[in-house]
Amino acid sequence: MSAASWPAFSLGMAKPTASKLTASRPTPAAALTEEELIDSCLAGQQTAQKQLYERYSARMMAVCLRYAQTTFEAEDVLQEGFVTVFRTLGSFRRECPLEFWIRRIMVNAALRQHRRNAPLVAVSDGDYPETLASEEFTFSNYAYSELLAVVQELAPRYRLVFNLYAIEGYTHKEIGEMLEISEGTSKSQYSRARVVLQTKLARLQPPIK
Amino acid sequence: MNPSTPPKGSLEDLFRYHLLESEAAAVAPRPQVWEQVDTNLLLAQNEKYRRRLAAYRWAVAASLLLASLAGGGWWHSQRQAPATATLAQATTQQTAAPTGLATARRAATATPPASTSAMATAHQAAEGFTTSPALSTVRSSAIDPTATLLATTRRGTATAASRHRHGIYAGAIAQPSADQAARPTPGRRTLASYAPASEALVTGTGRRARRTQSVHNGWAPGSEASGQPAGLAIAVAPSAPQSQGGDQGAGAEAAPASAVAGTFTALTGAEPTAEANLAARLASLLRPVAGLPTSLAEVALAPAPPLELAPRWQYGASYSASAYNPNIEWAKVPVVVASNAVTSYQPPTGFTRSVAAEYRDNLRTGLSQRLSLWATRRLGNGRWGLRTGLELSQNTASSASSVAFVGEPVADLSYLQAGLVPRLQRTSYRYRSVSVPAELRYANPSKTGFSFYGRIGAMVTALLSVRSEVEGAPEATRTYSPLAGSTPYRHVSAGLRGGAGMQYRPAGHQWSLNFGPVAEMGILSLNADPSQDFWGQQRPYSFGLEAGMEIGRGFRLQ
Repeated sequence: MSAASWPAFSLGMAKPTASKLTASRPTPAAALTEEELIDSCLAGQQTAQKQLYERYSARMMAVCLRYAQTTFEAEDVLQEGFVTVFRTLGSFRRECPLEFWIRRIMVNAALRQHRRNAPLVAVSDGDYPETLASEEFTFSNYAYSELLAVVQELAPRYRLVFNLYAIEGYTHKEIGEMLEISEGTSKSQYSRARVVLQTKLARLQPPIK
Repeated sequence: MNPSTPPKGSLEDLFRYHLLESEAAAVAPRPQVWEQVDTNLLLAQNEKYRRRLAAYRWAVAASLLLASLAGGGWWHSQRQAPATATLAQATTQQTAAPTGLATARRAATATPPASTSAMATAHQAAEGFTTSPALSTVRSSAIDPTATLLATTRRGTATAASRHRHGIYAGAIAQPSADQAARPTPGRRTLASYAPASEALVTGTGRRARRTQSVHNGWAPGSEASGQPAGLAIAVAPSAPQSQGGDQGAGAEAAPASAVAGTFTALTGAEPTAEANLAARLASLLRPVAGLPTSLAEVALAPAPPLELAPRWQYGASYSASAYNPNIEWAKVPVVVASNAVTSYQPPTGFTRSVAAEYRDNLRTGLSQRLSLWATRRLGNGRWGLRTGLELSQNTASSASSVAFVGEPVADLSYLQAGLVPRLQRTSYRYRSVSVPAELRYANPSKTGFSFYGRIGAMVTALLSVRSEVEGAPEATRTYSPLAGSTPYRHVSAGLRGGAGMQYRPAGHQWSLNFGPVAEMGILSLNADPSQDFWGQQRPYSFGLEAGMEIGRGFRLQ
């Protein structure tokens, strides 16, 4: 596979547990294990499909929100992604956590959505400096919603490149292939997105000196 | 990390911390989303059922079409010889020889070597082991649709009878003098055309028949002395000088029917009743017949229409399904290892070669389908033709390797980093191409029914797209097109192809069906940069079956 393979392992994350995956929605007491859930879904059980959806939909919605500009657009991506998940679940080889496999599908769904909407979106960079000095940020000074809003305000191409490179861990070469742009373009767009984000973060919360 | 100091980091770490790892990075979607997902799943399931139903319908329709074609072909072939059956039935009714002409016709289809003895057993005669040159002429003339044998009884009659191996007695009314009977008369067909069964037993009463001795009656007690098995002794002499039973046969001509029957009974004493019945029937056959029944009178046939070559161009379409093997050698292509911003991986030396060998070991053939539209220009006498056209192909194949070859081999970083032995990744391939063939084709355009065809030639193929999918990794899917700047596949290649099979052309129709095996071999390798020299390259190949339909006929009636 060409994508960075499960970057969570590289980042030293532990394998997510079921409770961690469903932080926003508690798992039912009689919840199936991941293996049982997959088998039940492959058997065509609708209850299992709904349980799988409820288990992962919240975190996948967060992923979709990062790539989309609005909540409605994110829900469209989420819907398309889960349909793909259930249709291709038989090809899942169970060599990695199911969440990572679903996440990749969501990212691909977001890219497809971007390709469909790309001609309709007008890109405006705004007025930002060319470069900014590298700064150190204190994590506790920013909230999830604030950072999500900042990312969503980025121009679509910048948002895609930033998400793919900084958060998902793809290389610029891979991003270039995925977005059908050159590697240099990906780098320049990422650099530009970084400047925009730094500027907006500075407006949100002055950095601690 | 010291808990007393708040976590800090770069811009990337900040977003990764909050948007990827944070517990807050979970937002429940609206309930309507699941309803839409469920609806889409239901629609997808219905679509799957609909496609399956459509496939079943096509399969049933194709089966019905094939069955109809086969049945129509069989029915048409049965219709081609209606006159034979009619004449046989008429003779049965008129001459009290129920199985006469029918059995005689069966006997006439056998290949007759020349006989050196006039004394032959009845079952030998019935199976066509004995005959005369004159009868051979009769037989060959009977095959010719434009030839007619003169079958009149002006100078006498000759009654032919044969005994089948299983006790069938056959009688046929034949020309008294075989040389006259063998004379073809264009434009007319008579009963004599179907009377080669006289090879079994022919009693000639005409003077000319006795003189020529071309066909003799061997029905005589003397036949028993010649060492032949007991039973009905029937002699057919190829020629008078060679026939040692000719005199005996001549003598037997005068024997009355009752005497013949008595002789037969004496010779076959084992089953007196049955044999007596048979002898009685034989005796009835031996009686001279005054003339042919009116139903067997000469029938004038319209002259056969002349044949003329049809226009030189013929058109058609065909479909072939084959087992396809891309037979690619990837050894020269460097392995691309996925890496991210955190770590990278350098493959060990020889890694590419080993995974390429693994890829080839697990390479499996797939279904190849080709739809062809072609035109054939006839050469010379019409049996040979040059054929060209346009073909659309879709070939599939699959393989499994620890490094997925999707045009470029890509390794799974997680296994490599962990030092684990990677599992095999199943990769499926789909190649779509368009070809222009040039072939030399052999077929008999004038023959109706089943005939042989063969063709051999070459084609130039342009690759339209190549799609590679890794099982369980949808993001690894690669699609190459001719417009892609860099592709590991050849845009244009060439190959050789040969095929042969059976062609069915119904009479009176403007089309024909072809069916037979076909084989194809690439001249060039499928990958653009093979590591071997030209003669050592791995080339794609396929074997399968093709079915086609040709519009237009080789000859047309005026």
